[in-house]
Amino acid sequence: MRRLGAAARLVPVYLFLYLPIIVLVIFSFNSSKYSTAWRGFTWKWYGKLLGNEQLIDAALNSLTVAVLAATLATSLGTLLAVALYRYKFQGKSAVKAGVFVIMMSPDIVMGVSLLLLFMLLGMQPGFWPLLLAHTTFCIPFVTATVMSRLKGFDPHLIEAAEDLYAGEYRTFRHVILPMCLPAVFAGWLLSFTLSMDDVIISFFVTGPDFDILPLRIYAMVRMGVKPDVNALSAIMVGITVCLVFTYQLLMRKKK
Amino acid sequence: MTGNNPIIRLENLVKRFDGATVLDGVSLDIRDGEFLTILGPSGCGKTTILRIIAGFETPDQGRVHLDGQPLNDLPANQRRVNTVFQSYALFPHMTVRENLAFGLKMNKVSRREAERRIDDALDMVDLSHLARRYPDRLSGGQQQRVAIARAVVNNPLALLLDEPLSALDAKLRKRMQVQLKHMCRELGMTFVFVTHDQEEAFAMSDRVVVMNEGRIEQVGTPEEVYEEPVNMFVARFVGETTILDGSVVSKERETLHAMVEGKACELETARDFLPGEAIKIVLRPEDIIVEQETDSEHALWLPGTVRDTVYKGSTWDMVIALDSGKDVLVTEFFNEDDERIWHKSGDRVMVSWYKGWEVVLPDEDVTAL
Ligand SMILES: Nc1ncnc2c1ncn2[C@@H]1O[C@H](COP(=O)(O)OP(=O)(O)OP(=O)(O)O)[C@@H](O)[C@H]1O
Ligand SMILES: [Mg+2]
Repeated sequence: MRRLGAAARLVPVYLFLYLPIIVLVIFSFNSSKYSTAWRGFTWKWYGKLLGNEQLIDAALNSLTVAVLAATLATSLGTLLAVALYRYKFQGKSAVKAGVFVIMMSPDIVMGVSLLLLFMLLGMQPGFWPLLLAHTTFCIPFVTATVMSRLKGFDPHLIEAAEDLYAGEYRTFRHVILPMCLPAVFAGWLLSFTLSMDDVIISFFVTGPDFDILPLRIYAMVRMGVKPDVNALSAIMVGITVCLVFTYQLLMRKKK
Repeated sequence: MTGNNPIIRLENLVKRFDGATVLDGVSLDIRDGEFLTILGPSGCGKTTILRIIAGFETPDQGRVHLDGQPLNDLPANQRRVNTVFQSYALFPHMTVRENLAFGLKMNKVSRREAERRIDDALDMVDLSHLARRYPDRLSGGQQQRVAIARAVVNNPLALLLDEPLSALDAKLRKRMQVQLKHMCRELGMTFVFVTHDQEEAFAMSDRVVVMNEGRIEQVGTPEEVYEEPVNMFVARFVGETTILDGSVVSKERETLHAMVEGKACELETARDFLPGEAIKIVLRPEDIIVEQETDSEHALWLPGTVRDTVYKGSTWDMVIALDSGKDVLVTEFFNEDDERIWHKSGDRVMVSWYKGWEVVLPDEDVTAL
């Protein structure tokens, strides 16, 4: 009885959340090109995607940036988290707050300010500004993820390592890092996802000769929603679902 | 066996946290190979002392010497002492064996030597069969033993243990107490053990340090601390006590003529007192004699009524309310040959104590506890 009650409350919420995605996935298999009417099942939109060189290029660019930005952000974000956890220093709470400010600040503000910065530095819009921008907005997410795991540890573990003759570096290398590895991976995945689907910030900092997937899709959609966009989006939903599951698995695992 | 040269020397340690003085001039010599227990109520600074020795805290004043060498500027990872943490602090991502190997690896002990020492240590704590387990697959008692083995395997000059048994159930705790004491003897290693449990301290230690509010009140063998407490704090903290009020009439040599609970009597003490001085008479439950009829042999007979009796297996405990208003705790031991009458609640009795077993202390209005 109670279960039924719970379902009665959950179903509408989840329907609300996922109906758009479900519709999108269904229509990616619709053989009708223009209408929203169902004209039978087809794989052809997926096939058509593979023939679209512009799109494949953009996808490869996006992947490159996402992998590099996630890796950079994970390294820097993890170091920041460990520093915030381990050391007491002047202005520590300001640094901590700063992390969250970046996390919460609107993309549009980040985009404009990064554009301004890169202009001042004389950098041409394109790959490098894009990579730096993505790294920047990913760092706080990694830091927050890793910190939440560090906070769950017995603080005496680090003292135990020191007590057993490990210096700073080896304490980090042999105790802290292995213990927060799941969170580090999770942070990487999160960064990867964030980088893959960022539109607003990327719009400001990338140039015409370095197209990326979200911007490409955006351009395609402006000329009307086509079924191949549906197919592409469906693929991306699939990948995202996999990443989210991996992330949750990593964060749940104790060891 | 226990040597006499100090392995650890604490000189006048002072430590403040946010302006609050946590250690207020602690000086202590810890002898090589002894089992020393630091005993005191919560918050008195026991953990802080251990952390200063281990190198996790720096004292604001004073010095620490280990084996004759000053330690103040040496970081924790270069001190030849090891800590057993109350929370065990086992590395969760390493097996039992890897946990034990950690210190040896960091210390660059050769592989063969390390293997041998790990085997010995695992054997000592009876965990050889669990060497490949991860800590989260062990019971509390097993984790405890891993923590001890992980520290001992490094062969430190001293082992620091901060309430390592407090998370164990009573039975396991008793077993571990015996085992720890045995290890201290066997390895000839100095153990510095922190607890707020008086019974535990007595069961294990060669010497006990009683602390209160950042100061050492008394250092001595368990017997000395129990039987000859130097002040009211120690008397009250260490074991059950009955405390009677009195005042000095006169003193000649070891004999003190005094008024106790309104009655004249003779007491024995080596301390100096002035006539008229207010005193406290400290009695342990087993010092006390309870009779229904009196003879004159004893110092003093105080009338009272039995209020509660508790059967404890090997002893029979009673609370007697004296007519003067004080409560007296009594422990009587069973003796099969004895045809003693066991008093019941409500009985009228006379109470006294074995002459010379009393401790006489100046009345210093202790507010602690
Ligand atoms: N890092 C710290 N910062 C501020 N105050 C501290 C810190 N560590 C300890 N204290 C304070 O110092 C006092 C002594 O602490 P300590 O841990 O040495 O007590 P303890 O005797 O071990 O007590 P317990 O039996 O409860 O473990 C306490 O009042 C505690 O609040
Ligand atoms: Mg403590």
